[in-house]
Amino acid sequence: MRPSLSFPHPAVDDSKTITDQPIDTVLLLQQAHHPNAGGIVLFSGEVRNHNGGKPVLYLEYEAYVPMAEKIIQEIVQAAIQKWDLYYAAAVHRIGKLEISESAVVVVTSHSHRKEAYEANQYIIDGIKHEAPIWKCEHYTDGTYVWGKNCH
Amino acid sequence: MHDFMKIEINTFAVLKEHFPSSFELEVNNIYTIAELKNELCKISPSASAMLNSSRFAVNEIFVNDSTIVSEHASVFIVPPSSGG
Repeated sequence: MRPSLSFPHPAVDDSKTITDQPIDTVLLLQQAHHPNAGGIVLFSGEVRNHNGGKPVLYLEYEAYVPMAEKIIQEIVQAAIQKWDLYYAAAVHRIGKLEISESAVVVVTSHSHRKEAYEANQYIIDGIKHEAPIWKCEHYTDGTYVWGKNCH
Repeated sequence: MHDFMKIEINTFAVLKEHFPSSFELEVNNIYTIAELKNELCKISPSASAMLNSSRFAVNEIFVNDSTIVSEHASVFIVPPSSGG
């Protein structure tokens, strides 16, 4: 059962799942607060400074935007249904990203932490496998390579 | 009926190293995704492996090899994802 309680949520457009601007993780976390929620999980996929032993300078993400948005929305909705979440959202950034910036953020809110974790992992795994989004790694030696598959 | 028609091809990510990100292709009137794939493999043989592991979409819907491409269709070639 999910009692309906009014709770002031910050105004964020949940349907905006792809952005070319820095992701506001704090706002996403605020949005997930709910009086019935005992656990909120926020995952941030970040740009690390190395991959496969090569030093990474920055990343570039590209998306087939309308389709990526649709697919991410579907994955989030499926998780909300499956785990009966109070709140869930996911945002993936595109364009050029520097080291330690968030490339993708997923937030899930549930009565208990176990379900919040499970649902969060389901969403991030789904995004990585299904959403038409691609990563290009630019290395410090000036070379670059497009990611060929998801991890 | 025309013998030839034009379709628009859009590519992403690693495929942009083989094709422009958006270009027009003049093809036979009755044309399937499978035939389009073959044609693109001929244009750029080094892209064959990637083309064969990519999905094709028309009007934001994934289509299969037997789908017939209509005139002025906008075809999107979607390589395997590597986001996150």
